[in-house]
Amino acid sequence: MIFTLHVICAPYSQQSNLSALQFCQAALTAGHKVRRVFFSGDGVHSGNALSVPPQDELNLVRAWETLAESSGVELVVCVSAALRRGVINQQEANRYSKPQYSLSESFTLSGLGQLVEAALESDRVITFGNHGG
Amino acid sequence: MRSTLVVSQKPPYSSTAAKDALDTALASAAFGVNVGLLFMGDGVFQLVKQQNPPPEQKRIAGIFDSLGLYDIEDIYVCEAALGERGLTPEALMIPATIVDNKALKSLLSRYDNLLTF
Amino acid sequence: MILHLIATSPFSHPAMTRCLECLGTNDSILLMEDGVLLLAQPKLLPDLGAHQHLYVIEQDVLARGLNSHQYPAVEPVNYEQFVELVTQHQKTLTW
Repeated sequence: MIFTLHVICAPYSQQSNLSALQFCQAALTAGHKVRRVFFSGDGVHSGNALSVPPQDELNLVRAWETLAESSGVELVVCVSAALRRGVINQQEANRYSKPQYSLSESFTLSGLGQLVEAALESDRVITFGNHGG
Repeated sequence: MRSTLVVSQKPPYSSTAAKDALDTALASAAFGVNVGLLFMGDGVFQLVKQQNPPPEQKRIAGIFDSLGLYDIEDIYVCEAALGERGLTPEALMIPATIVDNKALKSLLSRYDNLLTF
Repeated sequence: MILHLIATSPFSHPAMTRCLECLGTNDSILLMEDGVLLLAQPKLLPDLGAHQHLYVIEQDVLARGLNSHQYPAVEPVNYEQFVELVTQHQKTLTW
């Protein structure tokens, strides 16, 4: 089966970010495909390469990077949400004359269309994160 | 063609969740997806008339104006959520179908994907 | 046939109550993260139909010092089974 994961919460702020990672790993281990993981809202912090957690804690950004490197799963952060939150790549940093860029090379910046497109090509879409009800 | 129901559960202003939900609905429509928009929980506060946010915050009503341009006409509001919050359908700024729990069940089962915000 | 995902504490968020109001006859609920805190209060266990299931992510239960095995109606699952449940249901709804 083909899955798309939609992650809308930041690492460390909400456990759902880790749950999404664990779900993704379990799905791949079971032989399923993950079409794309799309990060929007605070989820875009998952791609912040400048994150430095204490050494005895799980490094979630690194864990997402490892997942992408080992499995080829596409990690996409929503460009408008990411720019707002300072998660930007070199190109955007140049465009907006910023002194630094922060997006991990395992992630790409793109629009919401990437979520819609992935959903169209997947059997299941699962959202991780939220405090609704 | 697959269909998507965007479920918007968050109130406006305290976070970008409400805007993210609407943007996702618009993006889905732009891709030709049959999209519905459901307001549940505190999400119903997005629809309240006469919102007067301070200049630092953008009025969410601006996005509602664009729903028509993208032909998003299937807009639903949870009746129980309105009732719990002392709101009536007359308090809403856009025309919407009010759904009771039974209608909500069939709505949730009708769409292929449920994207929650 | 929907798998409802609840990740918030029933003591802080009304997700469970709302979810039960629109739970279809063949829908099931998966409690994860703070959602499993429900197990602390047996009075909160929902009265489900014959085809509705209540699953909990066991690692989240254990992390919080709770016990899922004291309730026959609660089905503990790991992530492998979580993935399976998603494939068995037509869609998921995250509360």
